[in-house]
Amino acid sequence: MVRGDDEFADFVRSCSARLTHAAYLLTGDRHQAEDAAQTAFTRTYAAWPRVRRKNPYAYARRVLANHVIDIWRRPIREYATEEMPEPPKVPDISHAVADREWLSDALARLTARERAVVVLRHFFDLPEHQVAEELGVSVGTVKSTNSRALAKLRVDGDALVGEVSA
Amino acid sequence: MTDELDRLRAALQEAPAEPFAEPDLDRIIKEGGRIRRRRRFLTSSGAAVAVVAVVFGATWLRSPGSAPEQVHAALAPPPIVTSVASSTPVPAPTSAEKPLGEVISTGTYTDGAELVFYATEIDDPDNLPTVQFGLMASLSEPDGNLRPLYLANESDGKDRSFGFHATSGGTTVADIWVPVYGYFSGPAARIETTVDGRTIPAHTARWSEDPGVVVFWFDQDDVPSAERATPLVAYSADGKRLTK
Repeated sequence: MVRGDDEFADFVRSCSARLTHAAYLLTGDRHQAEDAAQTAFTRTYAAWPRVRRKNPYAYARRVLANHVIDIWRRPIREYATEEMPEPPKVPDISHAVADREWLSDALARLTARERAVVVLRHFFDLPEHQVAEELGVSVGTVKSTNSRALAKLRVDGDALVGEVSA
Repeated sequence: MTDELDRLRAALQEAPAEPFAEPDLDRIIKEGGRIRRRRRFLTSSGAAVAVVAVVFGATWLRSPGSAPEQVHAALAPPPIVTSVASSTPVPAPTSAEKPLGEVISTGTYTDGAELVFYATEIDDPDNLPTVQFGLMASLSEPDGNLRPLYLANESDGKDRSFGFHATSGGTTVADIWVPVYGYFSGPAARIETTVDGRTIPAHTARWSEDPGVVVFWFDQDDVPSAERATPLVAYSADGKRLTK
């Protein structure tokens, strides 16, 4: 190890669980998530002298989100459709929230960019302008993408749509 | 209402049933160190252009004279404004995504490598029976290797039907900015878009394998995302508008 590696190791230990969790939400696959997190940390290490005194966590998060979007683009680019899919099975809101399977199925309905926006906005709780910055898109794009994603997740506005009467 | 969104957020935060595997720190440091050393090498070999990056604070470095001129739609259209394309001998690529025809240079560099575009074969008869090629944005490294970044292709219909295809990019891939780019199938001599009321001319180059295919791309400062590149308009050599 060279100077700074101990600091980097502490950084990885402190945030690997959360970043890998985010990777899982982005990919929907445990192995892909672990690989994506590994890649994000590798690239963060490569940039460590530059980012260690800034915000390495934000850097790793940005690398992760864009890396996953990149994976999904290859080899054939996926074009989002404007058509709303059929409502997902939401048996009961009170159960659905705690139901990982429901969440996994729901997220699988989104494009890579929509997932990234949802994860950055609602998992990391980032403001729209920061989501825009990390994904390299405009704030307007974040707003429209988030709105479209929530509609697909049947979170229309602030209310889950398709809920079964409790 | 807000509670429902909070519940979604709570679902996102819910811990996985089993903990994830710890990252392999030794491998991270080994591979990350390799990337770091390679970047240092590229940075030192590109020291002259690195100075330009510091001065202008730009992610992308442009060769002198390649910046596009602003063209107003009402004026008589000039010839292609910003075509900086040239053919380059193609070294062996580092991936299976080999170029079809000549690689298109852009004169734009990052980390000492040049952004290039090239067509690459798509062979997916089951899903894309009418698509035979896509357009790869790639870095051409000083040693001649190509590092593919982003592949855009037609996904609905024929890849060479008249009009714009595969407009994409405007994003960061592996820390590298991929500009908004795509191709036009038809006799386009000039391609423009409008951003915030400003007419922005594209850089253009014809594909060596089929001159009827015109590759275009925009500078990052002018067109930061594909969503903002609306509408795209193509003009013929005599100034006639080819698209609505």
